[in-house]
Formats: sequence, structure tokens, C-alpha cells
Amino acid sequence: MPLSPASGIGRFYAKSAKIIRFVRLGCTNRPFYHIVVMERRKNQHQPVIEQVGSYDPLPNDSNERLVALNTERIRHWLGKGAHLSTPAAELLGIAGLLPIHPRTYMSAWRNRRAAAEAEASAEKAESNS
Amino acid sequence: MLPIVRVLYSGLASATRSSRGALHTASVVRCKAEAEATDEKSSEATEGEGDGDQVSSGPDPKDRTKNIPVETSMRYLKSAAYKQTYGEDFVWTQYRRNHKGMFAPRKTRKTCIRQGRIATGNPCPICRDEYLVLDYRNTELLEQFISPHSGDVLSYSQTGLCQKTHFRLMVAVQQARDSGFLTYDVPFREYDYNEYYGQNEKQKA
Amino acid sequence: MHLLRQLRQVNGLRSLRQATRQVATGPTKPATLQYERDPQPLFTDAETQRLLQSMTQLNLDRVFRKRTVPDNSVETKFMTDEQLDSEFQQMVERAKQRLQMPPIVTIKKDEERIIAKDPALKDFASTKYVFTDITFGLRQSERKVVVRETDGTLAYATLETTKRMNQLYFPLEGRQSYNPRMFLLEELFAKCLAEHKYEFVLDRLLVQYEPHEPEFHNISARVFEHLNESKQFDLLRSTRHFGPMAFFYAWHRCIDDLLYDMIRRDYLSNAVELIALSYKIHKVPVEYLPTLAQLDALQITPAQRALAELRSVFRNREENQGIEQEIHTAIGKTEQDFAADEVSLKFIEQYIASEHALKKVQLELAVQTLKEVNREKLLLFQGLKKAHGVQAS
Repeated sequence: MPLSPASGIGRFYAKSAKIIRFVRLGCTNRPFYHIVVMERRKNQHQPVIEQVGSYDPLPNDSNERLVALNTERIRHWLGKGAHLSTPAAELLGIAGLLPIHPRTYMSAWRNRRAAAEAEASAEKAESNS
Repeated sequence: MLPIVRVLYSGLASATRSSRGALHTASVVRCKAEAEATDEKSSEATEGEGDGDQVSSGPDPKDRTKNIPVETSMRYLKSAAYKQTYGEDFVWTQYRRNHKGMFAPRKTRKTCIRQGRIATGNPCPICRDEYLVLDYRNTELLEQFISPHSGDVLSYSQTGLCQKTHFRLMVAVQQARDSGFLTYDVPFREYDYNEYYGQNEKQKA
Repeated sequence: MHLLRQLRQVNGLRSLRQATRQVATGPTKPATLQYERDPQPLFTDAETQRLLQSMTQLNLDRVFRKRTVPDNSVETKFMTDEQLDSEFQQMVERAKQRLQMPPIVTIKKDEERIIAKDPALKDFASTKYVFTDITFGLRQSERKVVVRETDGTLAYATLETTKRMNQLYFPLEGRQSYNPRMFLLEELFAKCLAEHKYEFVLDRLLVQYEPHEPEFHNISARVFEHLNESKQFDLLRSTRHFGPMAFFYAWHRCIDDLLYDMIRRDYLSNAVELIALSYKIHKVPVEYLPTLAQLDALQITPAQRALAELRSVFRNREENQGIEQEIHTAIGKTEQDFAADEVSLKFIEQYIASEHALKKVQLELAVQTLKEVNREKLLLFQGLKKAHGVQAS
């Protein structure tokens, strides 16, 4: 599968629904995402209208996840009425570009609860032994 | 192979070496002997070989198991023995590849040394002389493989290095550049003063 | 086997690289001299810039020395005189651009700038997120890099992270993503200095570090200090590093060695400019402006001189300048140069007599020698003029 060119060759109708979404590139067990604008109805590996960023979900050496966002173009497309996929909306929320997505709060709360439960069970096990 | 047969074989091989190779190898061997004499390290020949090969014909010229320190190599490059062998030329200028037909294969051979021995009759310029050690500190040797025009490492099609040695050369050159042993022309960086002085500059203008 | 060893060496390098990331600050021994207050207003001052440019000089052969670039091809063209002249002018402009001095700024301190805090976001992910704005056409310093920590704080990234992200998304040619060993290991750095690879070290420094980083200040100060001891100032002449070097010496009141070198090489007007610069920086109440104005009237700027040298191609062909020109080229000086020398010598002697000069004896000796040489040259000059029957003005 050839790499979809970052900008330009995706054909689109003027009034069709556009969406800002991820395209999974990279390979098996090594995800890497392009953040792109494309027609909503299209498959993710179809040519895109424009690439507006990238997202590397695997932490690097310094233990950070890297995101690049072309904020100018993202705002332009949002202004034109482009939709947002949920993961993309979450990411933009974390970046501070949009309000934080409810799902981020949800996962944060679930993570905290899981951690608390794990701690409690560990304490229990300790007191038992 | 039985030891006796092997001795015979090595003797034969050394006797029937092609004339051009023989001339060069002979001088190299002589030079090496001199270099070793200056190093005062000639006492022990290679010990690893328990075959009894050396009993008949001294140290094996094809043996490459001995680890030669870089300092020795650097001294060798400055010595009279080196001058006598290579003159003013680079170590690779006199080297010719052997090949069938008019055109040489696009790539050189993968390696000249297999299992600690020279496995070919026409080893590449670095492999044939064991006193040429590729290391980032050995700048005199590395400089011979760098183009004065583009600053790149010369291609193996020009120098005739085997692929493994060429790779080692590239690594050594990069290390030398990183450590400041080799200088190169750093790309020019243009500064936008406004980026650093910003508003002040605008007020002045 | 060799290959394996080599690979192991490379791996060793990598582990070293990781080690260096931990000790990112202060790679080499700190320099003794640092800019204690912001040098920027004095450096960007128009007069200082003019003085520094004049001191740097402009030797076209040196600026356009043959470099090892991928394309070293030469183009040969037929041109009319006008075309050639405009080409010469463009060439001098290009040379000036190549001599652009790196900016001198203070060390930038990392400051924490928090955009938003959201405790409800705590533990939303296991690692922090770094967001880089890759909008087209922004400058490096304008590019925003923000970090969302795992505890939900959104803040601007540290300078180190910002630089790393900039290099990742918009790589600067020649810059490494790690600290080069040359700058990292003290013995390698000292070796470079001992071998007088000043220009290489400084060139690489410019590419590797930003002017506001402590490493930049530290390394450049160490190079200049070493240069002041080895006195190989000529290695940096007509490179972009000469101006910052002179500024550094003037700032730290150690111009005497450089001054001695200038006098010995008969760059008297440069010596005057250096003294004037140090007076200007330290606000010494000595009137240097009239002397500079006098010198300006008598001499031309380095760029003009370079252009005149190029244009001598036309003059030689016309051959109507005559014997006077020949005398000038034989002696290497014109009448105006002699007059300028006199003015500058007076100023320099005044400086040597003042309390600002530290190596008085040495400087005095140099001035005396130069005076004698100049006197002989002047005699010869006048003699030649008389012999050729040229009217002495």
C-alpha cells in the first residue's frame, strides 16, 4: 500500500462531509498515525485531502508521546464544518485546542479507580500475609 | 583437512602466487617485519593456532587473528616501511581488482577475511596490510579515503574495499567527525537577527 | 568478527548518548569569563557593528575558499564589462552575507509557563504528551510546543524539549540530535583546541547550539580564551567569528594580545577600532569619534577594498593609470594610507600610555618597530616618486 500523499490528491465534493481523523500507518505492532482531513465516507487508506498532523502513540526515549498539529489548517477545516473522529477530538482536547473530550475524563477516572483498587487489594494481601 | 596436507597446500599457494601480488606481498611482509622490530613485539607469534603450521614456515602471512593496536598502525603510517611500500600514493591507488571480462562486478566482494584468515588471493587494500587499522583515531588513514571535492567517503568502486571493510570505514569516519578528529565543512547557518533581537531591532530601524 | 566489534562500538556510542542526555548541561569544563550582563544592546548598536565588520576585514579568497560541498562545479561564461562589474558587486554582497556574525544574547533561563491545570485529568494516560505546532512558515522561536503532563497540567515545554521538537520536525542541516562527543568529552575538546581547529569548532558550535544556550556561551568563551593564549588570531580573520571574538575581548578587557597582533601585521586602523570599541563598551571618557571619522575619510571599508581589488581587472587593461599606481602596488601603501597610519599611531600611543593597557612594553616595542618600517617605506615611496618625476602632493 503506497503512502497517501500528505496533501492534495484526495478528490472530494465541495458539499460532502469531511472529517479530521487518524490514518493508521506504521506496521504490525508499531502503530503510527497521520492526522488527516478526508471525506467522511471514505476508507482510511484512500487518498486524503490534506494531512494536518501526526501522532506517535508509542512513548519515545524520554517517555513522551509526540504529536504534531498543523493548528492553522485544523482551525480552517473545523471552521469549514469538518467533523472530528473521537480519538482525534480527544487528542485535540488534550492539546488544549478544544475543550477536553468527556471520554478523556472518563478514562482518567477509570484509571484512577483501577489504581486505587489495585492498591487496596495489595494492602489487603499484605495485611493478610 | 589433515595438518600435513594443509602445510603442503599453504606452501604451494605461497609459491604459485601471481607475480604482481607476490612483489607487493613480499615488500609488505618485509615492512611488517621492520615495523615489528621497532615495536619490540616480535617475540610471540600467534599462539591461538595449535595446528603446528608455524613449525615449518614461520608466521602465516594470511593469518589475521592478531589484534594490532591503533597506535602501532599510526606509527606505521609515518614510518619508512610504509613509505617504501606505498610511496606518496594512497593505500588504494595501486590496487587492482581481479575480474573476468571487461567490466568489474558492481559490488566488491563481501569480505576478504573469513575465520581469521585471508580467504582470497587478492585481498582489498585494507585487508592485505594488517598494519592498516581502521579506527576513528587513525586520521591519516581515514583521510586517504575522503574525497577532497565533495568531502564524502570514496566509493568502494574506486577504492576496491570489500563491503565489510567499507562499512567499517564509514563508521570510523563518522566517529572521527563526531569526535573532532576529522574536520569537515559545516553547513552555513544564516541567522535572522529579528528572531533573536525582535522588537529592539525594529525600534532601531 | 571485526564487524561485530564495530557494532559493539556503535552500541557503546549509543549508551554514551543516553548518558549525555542526563548530563545535558555543562558538557565541558566551564569557562572563566562569561557575559555578566546583557551584551545585546551594545552588540546590536550600529556603530559597534560597523567597527566589528571593519575589523573582520573581507578577504574574498578566504570567504569563498573551496569547500567540500556535494556540488563543486564551476561555470564559465562570457560577459561584457558591465555584466562582470555587476557580478563583482553581487559577489561582495554574497561575501558580506557569509560574514554575518552570530548574534550575541544572554543565556535564556527556563521559566515555567502553565496554561491550564485540570486535576480531574489526573492519570488520563501513562506518559506525557508533547504537542508541536507545525503550521507552515513559522520561525523556530515562534513555534509553540506544549506539554500535557500526566497530572493534567498543560504548560509550555522547556527550552530543551522545544529545541528537540524543532530539530525533529524541522531539522537544521548539520545539527545532531545528540551532543557531539567533541563538545562533550573534555579531552577531545582540548585536543581540537590544541590543534587550532578554532574555525571548525566555532562553525560546528553555531550549528549545534542556539546562541542563548549556556553551552554556546561556555564553549565559545573557552575557544576565545584559548585563542588569546595561542595568539593565532589570523585563523579567524575574515570569518564570521572574528567580530564576536573581538567583542568578547573588548568586553573582558583583554584586548592587548589581539592589539599586538594587529599592530604587528600592520592593521593599524583595526587596532584603533578595537581600542575605540573597548572605550565604548566600558564608557571610558576618551574622545575616539574624531579619530574614527578621520580614518574613515582617509580609508575605505573592507567591502569597498575587496570590490576595488576585483575591479583592478578593468584598470590593468586600460593602462592609463601610469607609474603612480605601480609605485603604490610596489610599496603596498598610498599617501592616504601613510596619513591614516600617522593618525592611528597617535591614537594607539595614547592608549598605550593610558592605564588601560596591560602589556605596555610589548605594545610599545611593536609600535616602535612598525614606525621604523613605516619611515623606511615612506622614504622609499618619496624616493621612487622623485625618481619617476611624479609630482609629490
